Amino acid sequence: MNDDNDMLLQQFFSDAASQHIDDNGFTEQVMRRLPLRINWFNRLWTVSCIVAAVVLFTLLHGWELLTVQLEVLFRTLPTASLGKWLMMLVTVIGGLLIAGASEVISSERVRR
Amino acid sequence: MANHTDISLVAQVAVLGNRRAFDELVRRYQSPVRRFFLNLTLGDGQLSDDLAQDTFLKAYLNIGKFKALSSFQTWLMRIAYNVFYDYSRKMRNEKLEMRNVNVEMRNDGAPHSSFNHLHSSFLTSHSSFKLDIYSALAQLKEDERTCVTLQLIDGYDIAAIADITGLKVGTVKSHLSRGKEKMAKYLKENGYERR
Repeated sequence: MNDDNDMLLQQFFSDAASQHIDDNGFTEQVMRRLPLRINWFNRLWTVSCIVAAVVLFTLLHGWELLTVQLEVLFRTLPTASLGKWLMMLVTVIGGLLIAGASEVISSERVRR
Repeated sequence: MANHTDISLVAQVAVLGNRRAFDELVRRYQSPVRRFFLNLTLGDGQLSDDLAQDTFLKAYLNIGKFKALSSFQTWLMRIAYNVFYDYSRKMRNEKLEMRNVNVEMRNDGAPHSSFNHLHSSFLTSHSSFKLDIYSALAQLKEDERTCVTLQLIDGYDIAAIADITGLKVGTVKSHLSRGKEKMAKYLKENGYERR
């Protein structure tokens, strides 16, 4: 393959190489054809985790640990710089709730 | 979503089942995938879109198998190539069955390419520029056409083409060499000179 032929072909294909195809509803068609399999798997996984958490909480007497921790928290609250741990806990829970809610909303919106 | 990297979007689809992330991936890569099929089917838009949809569907169902050893686009193109390969094999089998039926009926007919039915549709529906491209690509065998379009239109190097097609590097090189030679000869014979 000589250089002249290479140049000839590169020139011939140059327009095709830069061609962009507009979406024109293609993505929507693909999204409509997607099965819900992954969502069902995720839901099954979430339910399994919740069940496992409840079972472990019960078997390991989680409420006793929780009671002790809460008692310590409330007893030491007046002496501790207020809310360092509490604020951290609230922030983490709040963040998780917001992230989870936005994911659920976005998934539902795309599905519709 | 538009600012997320491919890896981040893939992770969101695989772990969280986030369909919006997959929507973004389809928007990002619909153009190269559909263009790849347009070139391989010699300009049949409807068939290209059907094959492209199958490609994204398979990508969605197998997204957990993406290991990020290559880019997401290369992985997607590998799926696209396999989808086309399966389609092509199916067409060949159907053609063979038709030929057997014809032999049994003792009804002689001229052999034709599996894409002959496509030519009529693209000849009537595309501009002369595209007609030139697809007419030139029609001179090549399927493997040659795949390698030539992946290199000259999609810009992949030989190693990436081997990765996408599953062919050996040496085989890709010989397909490219033969394909380019045929193309250059065809262009010169048809008066296409480099300006």
